[in-house]
Amino acid sequence: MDISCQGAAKGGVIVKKPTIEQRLIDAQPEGYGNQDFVARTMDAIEDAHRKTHAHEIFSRTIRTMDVNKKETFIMKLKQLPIGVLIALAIAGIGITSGTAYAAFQAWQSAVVKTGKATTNQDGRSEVPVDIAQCTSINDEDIKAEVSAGSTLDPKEIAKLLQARCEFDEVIAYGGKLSTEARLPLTSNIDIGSSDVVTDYRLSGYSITIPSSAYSPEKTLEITPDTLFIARGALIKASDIKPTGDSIMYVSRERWTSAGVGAPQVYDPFGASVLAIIKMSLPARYYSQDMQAKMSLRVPCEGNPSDSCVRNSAGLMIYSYTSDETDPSKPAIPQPIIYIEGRITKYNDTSLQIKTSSGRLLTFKTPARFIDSFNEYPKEHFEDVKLAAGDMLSIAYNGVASTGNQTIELKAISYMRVLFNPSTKVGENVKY
Amino acid sequence: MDEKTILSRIAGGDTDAYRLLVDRYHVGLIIHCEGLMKDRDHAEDVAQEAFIKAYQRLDTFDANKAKFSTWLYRIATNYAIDELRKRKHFADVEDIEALVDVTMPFAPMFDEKDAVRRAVARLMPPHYRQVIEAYFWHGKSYKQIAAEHGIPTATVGTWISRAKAQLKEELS
Repeated sequence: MDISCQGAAKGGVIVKKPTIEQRLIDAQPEGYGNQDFVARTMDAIEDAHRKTHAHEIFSRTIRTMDVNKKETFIMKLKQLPIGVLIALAIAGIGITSGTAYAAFQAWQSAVVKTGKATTNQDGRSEVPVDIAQCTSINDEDIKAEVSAGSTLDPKEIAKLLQARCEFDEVIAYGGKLSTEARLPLTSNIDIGSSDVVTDYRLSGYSITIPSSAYSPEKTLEITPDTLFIARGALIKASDIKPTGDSIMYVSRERWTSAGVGAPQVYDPFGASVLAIIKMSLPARYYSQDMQAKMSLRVPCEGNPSDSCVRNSAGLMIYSYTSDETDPSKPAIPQPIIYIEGRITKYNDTSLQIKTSSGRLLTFKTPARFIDSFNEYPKEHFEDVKLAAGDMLSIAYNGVASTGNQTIELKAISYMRVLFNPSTKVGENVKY
Repeated sequence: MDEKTILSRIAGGDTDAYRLLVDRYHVGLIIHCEGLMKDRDHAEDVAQEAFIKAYQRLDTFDANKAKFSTWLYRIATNYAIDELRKRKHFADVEDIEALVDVTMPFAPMFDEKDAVRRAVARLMPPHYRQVIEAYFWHGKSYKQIAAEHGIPTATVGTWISRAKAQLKEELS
């Protein structure tokens, strides 16, 4: 286990960032998991529930015994004239012949609508977002804002969100195929989703993917089982252009090595493609660079009159750790609520932030908190220094409020300084 | 679906909605318990028991005062400590509390899922990606992963360690 993530700085400030285990667990895609465990656990829960509520269930059964039965579908059919029944039977044949296509729905396409652009408290263009059928983004009252320094047209935001939802759905679908495939015991078979590509070459028998920084050129066999998908539903192979469409694919590849620990080499033999997914939008909408041009804002948890950045990037600058064995370090009482705002001023014992709704919140800090942080930048992360104007995200014990407040140090769980979304490692541009 | 909606559905009698919470938290909770119990089978037992206890005590849980995951992990941690003591294993509470932090769900505002997923997708050689996904996302044990790859269990540990080192560098 990685426990090297914690460090302490002068003045009682504890700097802490999540462990790699925490980050991996947090990044688990929707739909992944150990379904055997889930089923076993739910069986055990239902069993315990049945035992606890056996009397109640028994009573309910008796109560419902005399209730009039609802007319079933078959009962209704029996009342129809013979001519109508024949017509229904013919229609039924038509429906079942298309079952393979109709029954397959790997995911539903997200429906995204955006409203009129306005300028928000940070001077950024912002649009209200209405999003449905998106597994990975299902918050309420979402707003999307154009990142600082970006020239993104707010009209493009709906497409960016549509792309983000679709990309996540394909990644989750690839994971599902990987789980269902149950890898053979002794070979290094790799099943997984690709990134979005356009420079592939597709024939009736194979698809060739050009080399990348991480992989050699690959030719993957198209088998009778290969699925062709668009918007979660099956399409024909001919619906995908021989090259140039935006596609993702789920492949089954083999990598071999001379022995355990030896480097693995791509083995083209038997490499096949399980699914080719035609994406709904041009490839640029799925790129990290394009996606970084936008952030989502949602109501702050516990402070719904203010908005907070969803999935924000940032650096932990203060974190309180309780210690049950040390009376001087008690746990912070619940509830923990969240707020974001820019530092308006600070002194040796407190800092003040202005939230999105214009409230002023004063947080008591350890002695010389910001000065002491700035004196030891190298010991913190990536040379970051704090200053007035920085956007902070703060978790603290409190209750929702719409007015100005002062929060004591003992109520603060953590503070983070926020950065703009970025695709470049180590590029920390303050939010 | 957000956590409060799920909890209100359960409170309204939709017991199957609890599956959504089990689905969401089981992999992380098993790994958390494995860190405490040092044994996968016992860890799965403790995690399962924690889900059952949480379900049975759900009427005492106030979603306005705490996150479900924090409450669930605390139930699991307390149960793990009890079990370790029952089995007369050395269970120093301070040691356990130090371990608890390593896999506790962290502050939800620090979200970088996309970057982490892409970094995992780029792991080389590919079997590093396979073991990371299998352990952290598919909830498989070292033993299961070892059987699938035809390698010793210890090698799974080595691959995961090397993969984590690559990820730390990539994500630093």
